[in-house]
Amino acid sequence: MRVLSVHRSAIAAASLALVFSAASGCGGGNDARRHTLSIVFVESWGQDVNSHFMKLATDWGRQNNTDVQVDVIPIRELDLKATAWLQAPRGDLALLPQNLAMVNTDKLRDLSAAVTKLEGSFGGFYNIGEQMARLDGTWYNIPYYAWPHVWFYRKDLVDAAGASLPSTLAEAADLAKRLTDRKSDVYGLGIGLGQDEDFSMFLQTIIWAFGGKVVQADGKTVALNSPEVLAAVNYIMDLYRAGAIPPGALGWDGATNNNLFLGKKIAITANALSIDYVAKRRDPTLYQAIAHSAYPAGPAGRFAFVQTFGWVIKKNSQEAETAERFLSFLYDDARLKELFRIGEGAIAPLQKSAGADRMWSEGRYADAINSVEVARPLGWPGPFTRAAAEVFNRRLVNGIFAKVINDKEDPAAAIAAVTEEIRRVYSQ
Amino acid sequence: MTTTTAAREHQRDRRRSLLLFLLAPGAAFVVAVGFLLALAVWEIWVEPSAHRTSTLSATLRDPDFWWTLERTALFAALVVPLKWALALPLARIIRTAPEKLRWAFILPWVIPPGVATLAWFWLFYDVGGGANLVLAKFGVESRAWLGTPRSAFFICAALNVWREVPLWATAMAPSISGFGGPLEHMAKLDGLSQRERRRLLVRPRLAPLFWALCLLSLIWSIGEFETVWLLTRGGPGNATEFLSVYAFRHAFLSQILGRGAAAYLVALPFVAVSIVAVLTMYSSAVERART
Repeated sequence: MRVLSVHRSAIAAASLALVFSAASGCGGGNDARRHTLSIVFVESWGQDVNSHFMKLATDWGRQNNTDVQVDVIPIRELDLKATAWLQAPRGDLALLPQNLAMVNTDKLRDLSAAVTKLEGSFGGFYNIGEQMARLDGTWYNIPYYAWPHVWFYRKDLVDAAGASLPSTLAEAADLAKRLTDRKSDVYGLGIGLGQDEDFSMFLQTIIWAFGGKVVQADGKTVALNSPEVLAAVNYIMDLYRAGAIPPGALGWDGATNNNLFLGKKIAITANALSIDYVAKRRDPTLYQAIAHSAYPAGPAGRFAFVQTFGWVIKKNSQEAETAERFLSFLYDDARLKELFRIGEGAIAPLQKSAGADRMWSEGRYADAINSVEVARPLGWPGPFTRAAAEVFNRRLVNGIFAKVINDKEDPAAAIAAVTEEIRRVYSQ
Repeated sequence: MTTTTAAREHQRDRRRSLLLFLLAPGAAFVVAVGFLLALAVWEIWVEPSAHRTSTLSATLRDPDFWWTLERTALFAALVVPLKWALALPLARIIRTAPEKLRWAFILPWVIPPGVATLAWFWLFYDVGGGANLVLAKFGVESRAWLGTPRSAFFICAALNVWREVPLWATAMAPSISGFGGPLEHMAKLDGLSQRERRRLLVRPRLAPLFWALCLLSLIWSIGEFETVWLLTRGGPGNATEFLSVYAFRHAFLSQILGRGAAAYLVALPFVAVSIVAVLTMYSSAVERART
């Protein structure tokens, strides 16, 4: 009896399975197959960008018989979640920092053909976007946007001091010292000197502006220990010793300079345009008093470093074609321009035609697009490499200032010590 | 052999088999790790200046790793005794506090670590932070609390202690409930001094709990990440770069997952020795409490 009941159960299960598979085949042929596309998107502090993107993705999915699942990564969890996505066996499409994507090209699909199809619609990419997307001629990500990095000023304090916005680093240093008012607890230049990303970007730009570099053009020879880099370090230390940079700057995180600028405790800082975005909504008086400019020029010229983001498709994705169709939709010129208008400067385009939009040439954001235009990739003047990414991500060059300030080392000795650490990275 | 004895022996055998079954994977893991570490050490012995190395030997060669291990050991060695020192008086306060207010003492433990850490971060901002505002009221110059290695280290330790002491105290409070009870009254009648009563009555009862809490705290302190990362990101310099921060930096920032895992594998023998030492103390404390 027991054997018979098991036999009956097996027949029932098999029949049910047949019925279900027949029903699923009744929806139509292969063309009408419903797709599922998983997308990972980096949260923007321009919140409207996030909701706009979600709407774009959902609408596209509805029109294209696709279930679109969007996972928005909070900025603070970016490294963790991006790494998890890259290492996971599944996943389709993600917007990732280009420096993170390009050290994991073994997991990513070749997008060269997709780029060739798309590029015509927006006149190509800015140099930094392109350099951070290609390895040995192969495109592994499609550049999407950048977080522009500019200098912020309290225009009211600058005007009160009878000064003007600086165009060189020397002028900027003078202005920062003049604007420092310890009685009112206001510091001239608020920039962290520790582990935060803003300082990494600031320091890299200052080093280039003084003619220094981390690595030579061959991309392998570490060149940090040079008179030019020493000059760059001394420039910052001069401001610190003069009291223009707060004494606790070594302990700042990436949000401290934002908070202190919005709290009117610092007169100048270098940051992405998130300060503008928040000030406009929370403190309109301060917003009117904010001015920003591209990085002042140093002895070697004007430089910038910006964090750039590109779309990647997993090598083993089952929905690669669906992802590429979605990207074609996203990279429509009008759609790109609309996204950046909604972003209000929080994100800047890496596409030349979007960068030529009026919002960038007129009004507040001209310096933002300028920072993208002059930006150099990690490892410049050499090519972008994994070692360059590791040195930047681990904030090794930032460590010079902890040695000088806390360990009381001579700047030249500190630079030499950090150079050795970087050589170990490049030798692996 | 009686039926009862046979049944007891059978039960003991089953327990032993179950224990072996549970411990076998762990033992196999330890043997595998030991083998890999031995290979890495051999690799360094044979080619001390090799550039291309396995992640394990790269970690063994990295002077930053040994600095990190030393810092982590110092951190754990500092916070665990501090918790004990503060938990006992707090446990007494909890016992005597009104019942309706006792829940308040556990709050630091209950508050999400991220929220608590951000509050401490704002407290120790160098510009406009709470601590410096208090100092300013007394005419004292502001300090770079999180910008100086020593103060950053001690603030990380203080935060760790602040969060866990309520847990220790709440766990210990019921164990000290017998103080002043009939047993202690009888001991007083027998002429024992307060010191002798503490040594003979209080300590044996608290010792097992103390070592159990020590073990938990040791494991949590060695693995402390969220609070340290939010507070200092391992800085200034590498003053608070503990094991977890080192592993995170290599795994997720350098995108070399193997180096992150290797850091924990290389630290495993040291951590295991500490845990075994604490477990041994715990077992003797339990034995003494029984007698």
